[in-house]
Amino acid sequence: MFRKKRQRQTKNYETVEKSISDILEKAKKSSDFTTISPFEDNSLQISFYKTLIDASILKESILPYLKKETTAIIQLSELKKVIPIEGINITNDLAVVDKGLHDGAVVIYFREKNNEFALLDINYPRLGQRETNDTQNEFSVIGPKVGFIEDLTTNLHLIRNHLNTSDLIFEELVIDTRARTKVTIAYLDGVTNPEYVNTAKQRLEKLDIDVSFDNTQLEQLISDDTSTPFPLFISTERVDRAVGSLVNGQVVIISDKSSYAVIGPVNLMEFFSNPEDFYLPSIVASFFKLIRIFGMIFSIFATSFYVAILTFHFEVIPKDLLGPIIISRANVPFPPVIEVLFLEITIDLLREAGARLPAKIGQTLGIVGGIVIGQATVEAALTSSILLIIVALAALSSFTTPIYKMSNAVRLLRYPFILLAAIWGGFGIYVGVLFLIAHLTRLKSLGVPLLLPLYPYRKGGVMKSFVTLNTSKHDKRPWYLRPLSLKKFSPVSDKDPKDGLNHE
Amino acid sequence: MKKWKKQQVLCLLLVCMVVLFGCSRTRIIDKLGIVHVFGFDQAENGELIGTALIPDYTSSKEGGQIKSIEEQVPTGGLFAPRMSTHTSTPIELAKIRVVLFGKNYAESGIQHMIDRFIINPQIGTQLQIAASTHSAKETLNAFKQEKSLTLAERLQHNMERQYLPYTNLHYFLNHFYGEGTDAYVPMLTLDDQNRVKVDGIGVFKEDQLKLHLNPDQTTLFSYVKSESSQATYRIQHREDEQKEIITFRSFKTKSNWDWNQKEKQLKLHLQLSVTLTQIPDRFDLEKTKDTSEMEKIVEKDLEKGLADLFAILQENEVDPVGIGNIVRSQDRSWEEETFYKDYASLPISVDVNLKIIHSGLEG
Repeated sequence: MFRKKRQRQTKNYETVEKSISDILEKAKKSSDFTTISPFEDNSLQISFYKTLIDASILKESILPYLKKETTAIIQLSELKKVIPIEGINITNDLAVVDKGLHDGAVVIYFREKNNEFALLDINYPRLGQRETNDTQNEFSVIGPKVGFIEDLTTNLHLIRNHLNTSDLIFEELVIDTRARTKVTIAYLDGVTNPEYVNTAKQRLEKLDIDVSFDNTQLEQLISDDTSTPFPLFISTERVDRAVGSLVNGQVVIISDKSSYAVIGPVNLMEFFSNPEDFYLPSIVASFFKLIRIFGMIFSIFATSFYVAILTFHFEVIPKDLLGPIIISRANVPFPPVIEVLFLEITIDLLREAGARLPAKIGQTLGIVGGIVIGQATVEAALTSSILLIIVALAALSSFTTPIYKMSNAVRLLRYPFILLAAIWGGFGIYVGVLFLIAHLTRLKSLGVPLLLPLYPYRKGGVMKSFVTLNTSKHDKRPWYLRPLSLKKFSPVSDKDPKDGLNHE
Repeated sequence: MKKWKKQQVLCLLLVCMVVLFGCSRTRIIDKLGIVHVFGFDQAENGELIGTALIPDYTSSKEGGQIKSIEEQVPTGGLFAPRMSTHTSTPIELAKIRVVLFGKNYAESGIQHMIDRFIINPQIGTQLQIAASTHSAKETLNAFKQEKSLTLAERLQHNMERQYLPYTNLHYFLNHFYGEGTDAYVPMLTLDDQNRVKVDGIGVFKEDQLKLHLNPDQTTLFSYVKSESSQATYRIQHREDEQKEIITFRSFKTKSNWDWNQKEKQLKLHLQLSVTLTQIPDRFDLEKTKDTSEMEKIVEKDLEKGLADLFAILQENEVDPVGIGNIVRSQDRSWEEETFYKDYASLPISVDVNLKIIHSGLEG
């Protein structure tokens, strides 16, 4: 059994070329593969994919120098003297040549002597990459607005530039069998618990996938539980968030061609905090965080409580509200469940359409969705106007969650609750909450329970997960993540000089 | 194979849960007749007449439509089914705000109905319980003409800001079943223009309405009974040649009772903080002399009024103040029967201590 598995892992999904002519023949099928011979006698050949290399280097730093030394080159090793480029690699390994070609190297060889090749690495990974790296989806008013882009070197540069310490380790892995995407595991040596690094590394190494399109896909592949709507890693495009979690002793996984960094292990309450929390006074930040947590709870339960109360428990409605609710529902022909599902699905359609529409048409959608559908459904007596307010508020509050994956999970969760409320009323919601809590307590992120400071209970962590402390009080790493060193910094408590102009 | 079995069991469990618990009947809010006020009357043949006011929100956008349903039934449990024969939606009693007893029914005994209130879990104890000087049917029909659903508020704000002592079903049950005290309810009456108005309180002896206190007596009663009564009281001074009227509004009251065990005497010390709202012109309250004279006049009048009130209560052998309870708290050997045998002749003396906190404000 074991042997079978191992065989599968080493199995190569690609065709393997036997000789250099096979490689070249195959490459020539692609129109972007070019072979040029700088000399008239055609003895020296230069082959490359022109879509992968930096053409300016080829034109300015390789070809001119080659032309100067017309006859001198007999041995490929002489190239090192001629061409002022680092990274000239002379090899006779066909696999290296094949790989080098696809990594954006130029191969120089003699047509007659097919046993030696010089690889000049002049790849241009930023070709076609965007230059702007604003955070598009995790916006904050205060704080740096630099975000990751779809290029690994840039992303690593951003992190290294921000966290300039020799303790910062980048470990590179190549994961895909076909696309050979580079993935980097970043952690702080002497801070991050090596178990997390090992877990992450092991899971990435054991992957067998042909092409990884995005880090968020990788995140699901290495996730502890694949059948949950909740994200088990924070995927962020903010540099400050990634650096902050590195400092806290978490592992950050960055991969090529992805603008999202994946942070693990995380706990549930971290999904509701935002880097901006640490740039604001702690009272303000705590208020905002509590608003977000309230928003999450409201978003899940508002409509299901509407269904439960209007279908089963009209007693709990205050007398003064009874009239307005009944009047607004008087002409609605559906039971509350259908009414709620109708509006909820409408809102989700709007959201989905808004995410998919071309930006130029997006404005029209706001008018169609907000005014036409909202107003018209009430006037056509398909829903009650009070429900419209509740649904709109619930939708609004679901978007307060900073991590997009989490807000999606929150949006999804309300449907089972609405159905449960329609079947059993308040009791159904209660049953649903039990199921939800049971599910949450089972989730793990890189082997660490997702509900960590709350359950299993860790002393002192509960308050921290609901409010944001002063930065000066934030001098310790979350100990429940078992970092190797606990203390981050020790601020001086009294910063005032004892004698000064304004010291009274 | 094993995994499939597990899932099958889970599915079966879910189906069972849906089928078993899913039997609870839906009560969709706009398809209910939600009773707002319920009145009880005694028919001539001893049966009960129930009158329910049900707001009909759905028929018009503005609301305000009130449906009244009457039904004569032999026993209270039959009200909901019999009334449902008149309505297109099921009758729900859970949001009753006021229960009104007609004069006849209240005087013949309400024990049976109060017992039903206790066993019915739908009914909250926040509801107001009241009696009418007319029949409940008449009162509710008059109230229906006003096209409002504010009977509970009419009672409640009179309790909070005016002369009614605070009460609701919770207090009422405590007084009704408790030892050493008798229950009282606010009274409603119809004025000459056939409008519903609050008119003092009615006091029960056991389960029968025995005594109707007029607004002045009720005001004095609230001073003794509730600490934060804001009732306005009027004093007519010097009735001989020209009438002088003093009105004041209480702000805070505190009553202390002294029970003299040996002589079987009860003394009430009533501390009253008041706002004088109207005084005769000859008094100048900036002068200490006039202030103390004013205090004396009011204290004297209040002492007389309270003594009269207690005399009336003792005469009718009702105890809404809870004197039995007060004595019980200071006398270990208290027994309900022996105490109330001598209740009518129990000497109660009153000492009022007035404090004027400010004056001159009309209102």
